[in-house]
Amino acid sequence: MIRTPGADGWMSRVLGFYLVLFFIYMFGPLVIMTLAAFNDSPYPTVTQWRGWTLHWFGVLFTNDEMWLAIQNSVVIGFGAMLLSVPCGLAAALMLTRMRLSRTSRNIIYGMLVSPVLAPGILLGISTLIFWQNFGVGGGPGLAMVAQTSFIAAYCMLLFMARLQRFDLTLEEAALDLGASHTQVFRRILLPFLRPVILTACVLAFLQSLENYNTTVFAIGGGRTMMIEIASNVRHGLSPMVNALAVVLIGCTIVLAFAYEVHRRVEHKRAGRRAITARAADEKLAHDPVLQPA
Amino acid sequence: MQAILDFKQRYGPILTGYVLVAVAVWLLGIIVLPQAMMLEYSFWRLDRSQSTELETEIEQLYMEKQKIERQIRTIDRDLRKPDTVDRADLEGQKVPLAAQVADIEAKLPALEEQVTRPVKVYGPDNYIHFLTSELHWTIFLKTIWASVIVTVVAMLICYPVAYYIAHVAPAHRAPLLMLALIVPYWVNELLRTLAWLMILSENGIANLGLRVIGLPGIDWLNADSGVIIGMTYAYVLFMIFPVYNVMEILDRNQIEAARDLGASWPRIHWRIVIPHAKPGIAVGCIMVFMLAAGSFAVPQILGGVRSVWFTQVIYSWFYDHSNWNMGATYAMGLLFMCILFVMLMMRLFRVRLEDIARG
Repeated sequence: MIRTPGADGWMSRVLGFYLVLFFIYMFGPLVIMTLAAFNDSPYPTVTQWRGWTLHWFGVLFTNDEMWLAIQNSVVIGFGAMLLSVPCGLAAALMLTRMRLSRTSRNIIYGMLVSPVLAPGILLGISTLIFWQNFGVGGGPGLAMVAQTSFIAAYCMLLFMARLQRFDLTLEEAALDLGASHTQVFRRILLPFLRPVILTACVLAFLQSLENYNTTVFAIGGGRTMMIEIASNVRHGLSPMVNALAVVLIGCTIVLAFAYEVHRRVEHKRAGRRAITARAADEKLAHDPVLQPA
Repeated sequence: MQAILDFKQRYGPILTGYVLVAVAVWLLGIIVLPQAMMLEYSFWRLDRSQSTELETEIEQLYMEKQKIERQIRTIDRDLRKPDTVDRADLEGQKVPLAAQVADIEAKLPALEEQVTRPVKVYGPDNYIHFLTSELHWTIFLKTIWASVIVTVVAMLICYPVAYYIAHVAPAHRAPLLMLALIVPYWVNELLRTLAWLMILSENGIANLGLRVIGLPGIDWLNADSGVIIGMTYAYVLFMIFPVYNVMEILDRNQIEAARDLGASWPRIHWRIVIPHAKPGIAVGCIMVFMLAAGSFAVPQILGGVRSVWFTQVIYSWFYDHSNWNMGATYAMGLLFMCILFVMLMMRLFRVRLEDIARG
């Protein structure tokens, strides 16, 4: 019997069984939804199987309303990304680099993060009300702004995590050596942040694309992919929605694997870097020139 | 101020300006002012009750104007007659009448504008309406209660899973298990809910199963249970990740030591694992509660016609009744409940706001 540190043998087995159940619970419904997309039945079901078909994918790809809604989603996604990433970066710089007092830092941080914790519909509602005073009605523009309130917070958290690992002496050295402020930003800070900027852009775009609760309030009568899905489900369900779900789940799986591969590569690279750094340290430690007299 | 100057010293005026402007726009323009405006909206309503009074007043004024004008026309006619003698007298009568008409004409536009633009009345009327509407109040309480149930169930489901992945599963398998959880986590909540519609609908898998074992089918969607089941599934993973993250950093030696000293498993969990996992559990509970209380997608899809939820009431204030003030009031009710829940969690788990936001 292998003794696992976290549980005794029989308990480990009970927990393992529970985990299997949990994974069935997590994936079962998704599998059912996927199967229904291939069922040759006029409404989504797996209980009445009428044979395999790809018909519903064809219906999906020729559905003009859905394509229009997807276009809207993409436009809003880019808009939300262009608003959120600069806001998130600015706030991260402020919170990690400005020597604010502890209290004011906590207040600003708390307020900026609060949209992540608040129910999404409230963000849509408050944006809608606020802009009505300037004569701006619900639409794609307001959807972008409303989404930015919380997406920028996610970006900020990403940037902060990266900036906290940044070696400030690099900037100081550059400034001492006569670099201009723009050079410090362009040559040191920006290259250091580049991978996270990319991640933040992707994250912001995806968050915007899959948002429903905030968007549905802020967009007035407009349509996005998620709103189109919801209205399709509400008014006469057809397996076309399941076909779209299959496409989206496929994308998710691909993304998850890409993420995992990327994480492993980074992990390895970090490990190699640590080894090189240690070797360099040791070399320096034995360098006769640097030895204290 | 000194902090800003130091920052400028290091990064120059352009970057400093960008940071200040961007944070100000986001903080004030996108977060604080809209919320403040929503609060303000909830405290006034457009009063149209006065407009009927005004309308009769306007009508009377018009009638009076017409009467006077008729008098003037009679005088004019008299003036045109060749046999009229007291012309000067008649002209004299016309002057005050014309003045009266001018007076009325001056009054009318202001009154008419008041009718087309109803009066803004400040006061707690909207809140009183909300609190005294038995139907809406019941829906509100149901939504809160269901969110609490979803939160507790999600916590019970997740705790063993998080513990297993963090401390029981072989170390090399843990990242794979987490990756497997990321896939359903990233699948959109609408789609996750849609999956359950196929299970819980009238001829869905759940009822098929019930009929196979000889039980009658259940109308899940109209019984509110559909929404609760759907919300649990849609939000359960928001509990897993925070709880796993804190469990992962618990030193296994602590569990080992307790075990060696003869502590029973329930005792180890109660005294070591749970106290350690408290911040993660608090974050998970807050996330799940907020998502459930503010969920609009799940009730839309899994709520039958007889299962109405609070977010749907808010939506209908905005888009069916076009009464944004009532909508704002109901939204404030939801926000108030959520803030109360966060404070309760902080008290209950003795965590600070910074720990939660960081999670």
